[in-house]
Amino acid sequence: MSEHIFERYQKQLLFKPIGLKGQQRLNKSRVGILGVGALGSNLASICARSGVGDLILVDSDQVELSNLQRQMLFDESDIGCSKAISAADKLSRINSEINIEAFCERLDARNFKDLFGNCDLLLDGTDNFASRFILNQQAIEHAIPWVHSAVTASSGQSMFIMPGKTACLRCLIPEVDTDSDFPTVHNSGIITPIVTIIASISAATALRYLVEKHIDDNLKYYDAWDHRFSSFAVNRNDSCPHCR
Amino acid sequence: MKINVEFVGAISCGPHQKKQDFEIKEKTSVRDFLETLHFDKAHLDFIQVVKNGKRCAHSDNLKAGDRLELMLMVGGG
Repeated sequence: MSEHIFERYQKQLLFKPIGLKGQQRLNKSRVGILGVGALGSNLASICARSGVGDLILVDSDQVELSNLQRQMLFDESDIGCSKAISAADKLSRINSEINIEAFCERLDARNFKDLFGNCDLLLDGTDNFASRFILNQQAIEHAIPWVHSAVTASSGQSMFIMPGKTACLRCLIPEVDTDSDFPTVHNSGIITPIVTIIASISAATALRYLVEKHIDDNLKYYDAWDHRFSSFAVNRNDSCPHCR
Repeated sequence: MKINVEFVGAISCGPHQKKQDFEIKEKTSVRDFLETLHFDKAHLDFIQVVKNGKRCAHSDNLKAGDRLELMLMVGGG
């Protein structure tokens, strides 16, 4: 690693569980982020600043004024622009020494392999369960670990999913046909702090996995209004249609 | 018999206090109890239940003195 790299990651290198070896592992890692909105832009920012070597950003949406309250990578000049491309542009100015690829696409079973097939880890920045169940099923089929994150109102959850080892998202909750009657930011609102808190919890889980291959099978649930945290183990469901 | 229930986060915006004791009948399952709380039926499967510190199935039966934490899985991002 160059002196410049030592300077950039100086404080992270001092953190013993990462150190030089861990930093090198991060620099060699390839992480895919599905959705670069509120959760996704925070996740991407932490990964880029931490020195994850290859970042794949996938989002088909454009930036809107109402996004700026909580989507930390964007400003007024980005309104109307692609989230994936705007985020990649901002991230490359934060860390020009990593490789960032941006795709303005919707994930489905057909494009999963092309977008994420060679990733070490995937991060959930989506805003609906339909996309998450596609991610869950495809990640299991391609044996790629991922970190689930979701937020609404002042609450959110985070869970690491290692195909074949931990419970998957479908072990935990049934599939839904539509998100229309389910609590999301569109019908229940959201406050900004819960976004950064859940993104930070998921990003810490991701960094630890990339550095130590640590598998955390607890679901973490946090409410930012009451400052109430709960963490509990989730067992695999023997009748799960995705991972049995 | 009496159980103690805490409504955590998004699920706490209902008619109940955040922490509340409930009187229930013997052999009541978690699911039976949830159905008495008048939540949207479509949301019941998305409620995670931690009983005395461990996640439990909705089919589990409740006992006197059980302490439940109820959390609704949220879907935004």
